[in-house]
Amino acid sequence: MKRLSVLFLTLCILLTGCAGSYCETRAAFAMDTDILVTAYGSRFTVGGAIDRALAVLNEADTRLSAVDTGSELYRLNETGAAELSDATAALLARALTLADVTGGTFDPTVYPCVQAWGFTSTDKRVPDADELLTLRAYGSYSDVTLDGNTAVLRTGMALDFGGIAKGYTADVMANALRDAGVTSAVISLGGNVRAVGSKPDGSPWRIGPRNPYSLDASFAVVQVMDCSVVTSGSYQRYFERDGVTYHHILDPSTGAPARTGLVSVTVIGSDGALADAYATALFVMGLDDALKFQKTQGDFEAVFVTENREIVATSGLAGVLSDISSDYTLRYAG
Amino acid sequence: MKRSTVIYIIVFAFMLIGCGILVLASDHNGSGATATVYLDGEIVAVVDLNTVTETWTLAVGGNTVEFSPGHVRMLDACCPDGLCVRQGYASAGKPVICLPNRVMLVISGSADTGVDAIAG
Amino acid sequence: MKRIHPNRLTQMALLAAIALGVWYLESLLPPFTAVPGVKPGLANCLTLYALYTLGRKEAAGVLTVRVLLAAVLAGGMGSFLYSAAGGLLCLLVMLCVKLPPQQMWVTSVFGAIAHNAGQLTVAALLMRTAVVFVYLPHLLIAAILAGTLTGLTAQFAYFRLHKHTKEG
Repeated sequence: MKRLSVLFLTLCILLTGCAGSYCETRAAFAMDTDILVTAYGSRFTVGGAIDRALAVLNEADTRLSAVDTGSELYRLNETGAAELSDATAALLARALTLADVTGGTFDPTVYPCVQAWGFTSTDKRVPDADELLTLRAYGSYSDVTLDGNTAVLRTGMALDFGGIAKGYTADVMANALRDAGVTSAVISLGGNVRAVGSKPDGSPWRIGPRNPYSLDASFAVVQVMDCSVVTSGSYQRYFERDGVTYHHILDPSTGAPARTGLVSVTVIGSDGALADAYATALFVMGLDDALKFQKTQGDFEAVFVTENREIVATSGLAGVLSDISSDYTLRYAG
Repeated sequence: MKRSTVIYIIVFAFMLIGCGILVLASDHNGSGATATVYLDGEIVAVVDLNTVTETWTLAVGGNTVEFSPGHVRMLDACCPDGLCVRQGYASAGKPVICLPNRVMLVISGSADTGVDAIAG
Repeated sequence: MKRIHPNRLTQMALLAAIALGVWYLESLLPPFTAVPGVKPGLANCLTLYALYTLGRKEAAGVLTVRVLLAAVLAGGMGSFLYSAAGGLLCLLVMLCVKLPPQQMWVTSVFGAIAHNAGQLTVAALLMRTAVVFVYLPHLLIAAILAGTLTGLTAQFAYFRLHKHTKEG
């Protein structure tokens, strides 16, 4: 009888333990986009961990927003010179390096053109080529000076972290989750996805780049662990004027939407800021140059969707990419 | 008091505290992305709560489910105790379950497309 | 098969009748929380009392009669499955872990935990999902509290009534 009761007591305690595996999803709105955080772990830590990640997000948002009048970036754009916080200065340095590596196809100084097109407001317009070239002539990324934490812009220049902030913030949020004891999570900042660890059962996360021709679904699945998956697509933000579609991915050399025959570019890499910046850069480069660039770099993989419904994937994705939508033909770049 | 009695009391007290913490920790009212409505274990409806702009209701197995922006709850139930109605809005860690009519509201991060997240 | 002595049979019938009455009164109470299945389960006092004063088979008899009659009164196949599964598992565990009368309340807690675990399992089977197990911690708390309450009630009744009548 005594043994039986001990056995039963043990069973009861096990029952209490079983109740502990737990998943929580929380939605928010920041950085002008929908935020979704799903974290797995023990009931004791998950809620608090997501709280911390969302706090980090709001902190980054108030620092990096180009439209929020209280942000560091807004102050820099208004006055042309500002003393930045350590984190913002580090991100600016990172952005300038990435702009340099991509040969200026990613350039945070294209912001005046973004404003001219009206992508920051509700009044969309089509500026003419001269106006755009004038705006570009104020200066490019190489004209930004960053000395310690002091950033100085040339007259007329303005910066925006739109092509890097989300990837960077997703990484910072991932670190906050990890510090709080979460080893399994997915963060999505408006489709800028960061996978933390693997799924609770140890299998990789399945991330689907959005299908540009069927926006509520994905065109394929990439299986990743501890990785960022970032997609830039012409379908994300655009407007129509006189039968012509103008999208938000601007070519820094002209200030106009990049027309390279690509519809979307998905970059898969362990560094979120890099993946975010490269997704824009590769779109601007166009397929051929982007593939050459990927071969020289090798710290990321990419999937391209072209206007003729072809999916082109870098060779490192063989075996990682699956569930290709039947609307497309797939080829791997040799 | 016998020693074994003391041990039982201690163990039960620990289980009470442990379960109490679990209950409190799971009590989040955060809204999720997708609500799935089950009847008898079968999926009746999948609704992306982020796309809900105005409140609407759905009749399922004698119960009435109410969808509002970001939220879902059991508005009305034909069973006598109406426990599911008192459970309020469903959240990711706390589904609303109606045992008598076997209706269930479950919140999950994304629609079940075999994908954990969509990029882009 | 041995015939049951009329005296014992009468006691069993009496206990089953009281159990049914207690069960009915309890069902009139408003629910304590919004979590399904959280209730004191006072009728279990009678099963427990039968187990300690009459014996194992007799306790099983009292429980079966009560559950069947309750199902007839309340109607509904669903609720019958819940209480039958819970009651059966509860009884099995109490039969296995029948501690001395001074620790009757511990046996009762074990039974209550088994009862709620059984109900939850039936719920999971009926709804074909494991999601219902999120209520496990709620039901464990309820089981420990309710099990202690009913166990102590039965324990006091045992020492006051049963011992007294035996000696007297």
